[in-house]
Amino acid sequence: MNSSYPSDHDRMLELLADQAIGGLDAAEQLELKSLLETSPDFDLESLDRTAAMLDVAASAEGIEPLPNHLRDRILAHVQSDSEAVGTVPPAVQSRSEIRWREVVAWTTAAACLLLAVFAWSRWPATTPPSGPSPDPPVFAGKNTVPPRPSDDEIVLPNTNPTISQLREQLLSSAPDVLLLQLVSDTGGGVAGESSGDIVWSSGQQIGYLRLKGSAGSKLAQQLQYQLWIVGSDVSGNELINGGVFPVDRSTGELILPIQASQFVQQPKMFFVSVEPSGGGNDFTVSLLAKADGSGP
Amino acid sequence: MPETILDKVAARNPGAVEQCLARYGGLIWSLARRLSPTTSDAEDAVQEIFVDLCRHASRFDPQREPSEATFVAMIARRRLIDRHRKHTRQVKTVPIDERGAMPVAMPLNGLELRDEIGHVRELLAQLKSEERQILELIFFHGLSQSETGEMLNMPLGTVKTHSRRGLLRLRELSAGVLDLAREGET
Repeated sequence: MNSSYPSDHDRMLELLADQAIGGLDAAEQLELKSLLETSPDFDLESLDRTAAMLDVAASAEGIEPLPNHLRDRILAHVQSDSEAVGTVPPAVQSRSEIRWREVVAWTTAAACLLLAVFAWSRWPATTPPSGPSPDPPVFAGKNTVPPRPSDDEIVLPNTNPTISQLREQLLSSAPDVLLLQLVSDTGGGVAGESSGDIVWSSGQQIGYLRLKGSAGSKLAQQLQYQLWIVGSDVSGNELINGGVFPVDRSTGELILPIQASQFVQQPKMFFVSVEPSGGGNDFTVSLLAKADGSGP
Repeated sequence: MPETILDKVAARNPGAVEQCLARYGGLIWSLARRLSPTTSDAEDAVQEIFVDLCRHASRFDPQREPSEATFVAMIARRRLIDRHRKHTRQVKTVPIDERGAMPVAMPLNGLELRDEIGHVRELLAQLKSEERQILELIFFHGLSQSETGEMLNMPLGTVKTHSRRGLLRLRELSAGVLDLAREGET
């Protein structure tokens, strides 16, 4: 910051005004975050509130009624959301992401079926039945279907891999997989006690955020994490929401699926912000990782 | 102090969300239409905003916010800007009135809102003419800062400077109005 520039306080106000009017890019957000640390008591919402007052005043010009089909859709969605509150991050709520979840569900179901068939086919043909069973059918005079084991002999394969296993699978199988260590940006406070890493495959557009350390602390449980991805394409850098993750666990390690809100062309940096549960502007960038391997 | 709609939403009272939709659905829908590239995107945005509202309704503080509508608009604006930046990286709104739908003159009900709108008009009148004109183009006519610059034949940097200064001045003025109102209550 050179001396000919406005004071830090004035620059902070400029950025807050820009944020209220049209939002900030990634660099400006980081700059604002840094400036806010010098003014912890400033009412961060005051400019958002002023902009909202203008929006309300503009509504006096006449507003369109909410379409009925949208009203019904929202009512249904809010009802289902309230039943799952605390477990469903906001980033999974758009229709495109619901479609993505359907794809995952179908893929999981197909994988379960394949595993079941595989387990069945690998059952030893010599395993004797433990009790009476009907004679197996005979096909073409030579191939016999192995006798079905009794229920208490069946050990079902684990058809629901844990998130940790899914992360390991991605690490071992995706040729383009990135494994990036998250580095503390602040070096202190709640966030500074955390560490973690990012596993990301651009080809598959899936990845996992692993957080260790203060995620389990009492204070951290009053916070929520948000992952941001700085990607780049031909038109420049873009900031992509990677998902909001309420911290509701008391253990020291969390693995969370990254929920990128749009296609990530070429990730350059991942960073995790921490904010009070419920959102707001009072966020802190706590951890970051650059895809080129350089530090923060 | 009477219970607000957001109090009822926060308490999950039966029918509260319906009330909230009836009262603020039009405001949010109009904002979303103005700041979304397509109708489908506006619909998704409105849904997300209502989910946000239901989750954060308990944060509404009548001592701090000029009105419930302002709090609702603030939640909506944040979400819309966030979506807009994610989708386009450049704040450039495209009119989505391809279908020719005309806004219906359906102002928000409530006497206190009419008062608030009147106050905002008075505050706007105290700004410098360039600041007022630019804020009106952005907030009342839904233009981006770039479009505002094109319309006024003004560099983008100048538009940004005037809009920042205007908003900061409005913030100071509205803080004074709120303080006076609180003094009057005590």
